[in-house]
Amino acid sequence: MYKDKLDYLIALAAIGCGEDDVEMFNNLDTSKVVFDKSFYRIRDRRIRQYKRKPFVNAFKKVMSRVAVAVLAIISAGTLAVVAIPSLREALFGAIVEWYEDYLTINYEMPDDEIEETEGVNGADTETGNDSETTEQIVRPTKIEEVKKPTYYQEGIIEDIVVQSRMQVYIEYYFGENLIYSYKQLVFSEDDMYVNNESAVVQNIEINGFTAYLVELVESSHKKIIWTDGLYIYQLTTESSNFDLLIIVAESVK
Amino acid sequence: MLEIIMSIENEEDRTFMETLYYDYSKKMYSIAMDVLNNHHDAQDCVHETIARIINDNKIDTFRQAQKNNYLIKLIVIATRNNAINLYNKNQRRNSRVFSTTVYDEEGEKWDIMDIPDTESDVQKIIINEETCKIMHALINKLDFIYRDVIVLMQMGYSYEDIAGILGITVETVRKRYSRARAKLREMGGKDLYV
Repeated sequence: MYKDKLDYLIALAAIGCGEDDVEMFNNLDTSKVVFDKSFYRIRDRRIRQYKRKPFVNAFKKVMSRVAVAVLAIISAGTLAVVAIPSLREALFGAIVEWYEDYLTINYEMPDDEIEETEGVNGADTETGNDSETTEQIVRPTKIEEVKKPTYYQEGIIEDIVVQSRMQVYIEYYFGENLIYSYKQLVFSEDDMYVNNESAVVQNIEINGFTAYLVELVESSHKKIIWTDGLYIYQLTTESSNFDLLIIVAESVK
Repeated sequence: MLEIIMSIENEEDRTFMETLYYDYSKKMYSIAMDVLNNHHDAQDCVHETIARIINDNKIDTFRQAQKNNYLIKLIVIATRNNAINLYNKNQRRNSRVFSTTVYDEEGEKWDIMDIPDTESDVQKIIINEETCKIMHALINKLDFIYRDVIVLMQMGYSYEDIAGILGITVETVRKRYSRARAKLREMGGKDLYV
């Protein structure tokens, strides 16, 4: 870094430089500094995250063997496009295929639903185009309606971490302890796989929709994943109270 | 989020970060406020500075600075430069303007100078107690973005370390040091050749 006499002169002369910064810092009067509530919320959340680190380490080791997520694909050949908003909330059937090391969860439109939507295709009738449907079920490409749990135990604090176009992420605390977290996501093209060697997966039902309960074998980490056809929802907990998670999931509106 | 958590390797690091937040955040805010003159931006700057320490794995650097009694100097430099970065990013007017109005390709401001930089001139510089005193005073007069680079180099940090602390690229560190040299030679003038 030091190449010539000027560099050496600067290096020697710089000894002691910046001491005025130290004096300034020590003399700063912060008695009138008042942070917003959001500042303390962010600070406390980051500190709480540090305290959860030992669990996260173990969790990441499990996750690193196989990428973990839920595969959601709408088959182009079976997709019926419907312009009527009410028909967007049609049920998406989940097709689960088990492989040796992982399982995929594929959300597709059931064939019987497709036939019904083709029957109400008024646009096709007018144009006389009977060979293909022109109305489609359109998944939102961004969060158009925020849905979140409406069930609260007494003393639970809701902390909205992220609320963006692509996801909503909320953490729920009791005091300083994270009880569970909730996510609402738009469908994406990314593939996600659930490692069934380190996790136990079972089907349950949440408000009439098929949901997947994923429980990691080596820890108390549990996750519920489901969709209503518009968004993907996830509830995650590290506590052993699984029943609570299901109640919370069913309260999502 | 996981990456932030994973970078904290042990309980000592976590405790250090907690101490940093609780003990220094208000003073860091004051430093940021002096640059940004905006309450919300100054708060964001405090979070950004601490997040950068975590994200860039600089905890060891700051803990070592604490052991060597220059933690406060490092905190001041890191906070101030993050505030300057935020200021430049927001392109807001501030009562304290850094350098003049010329922007280079990285958005850095620098003076228009016409400084001869022949190697033979530099080799004629005299290094003694007097020129050191002169240079010391000149360094303290530099704009912070140049002075901080010099101070961090004197503290023994590499270009890469300095880039991480200041939140800039290594190339920008080199450029700032190069410009600092040129400014110091201009300001020192013939006094450096006595």
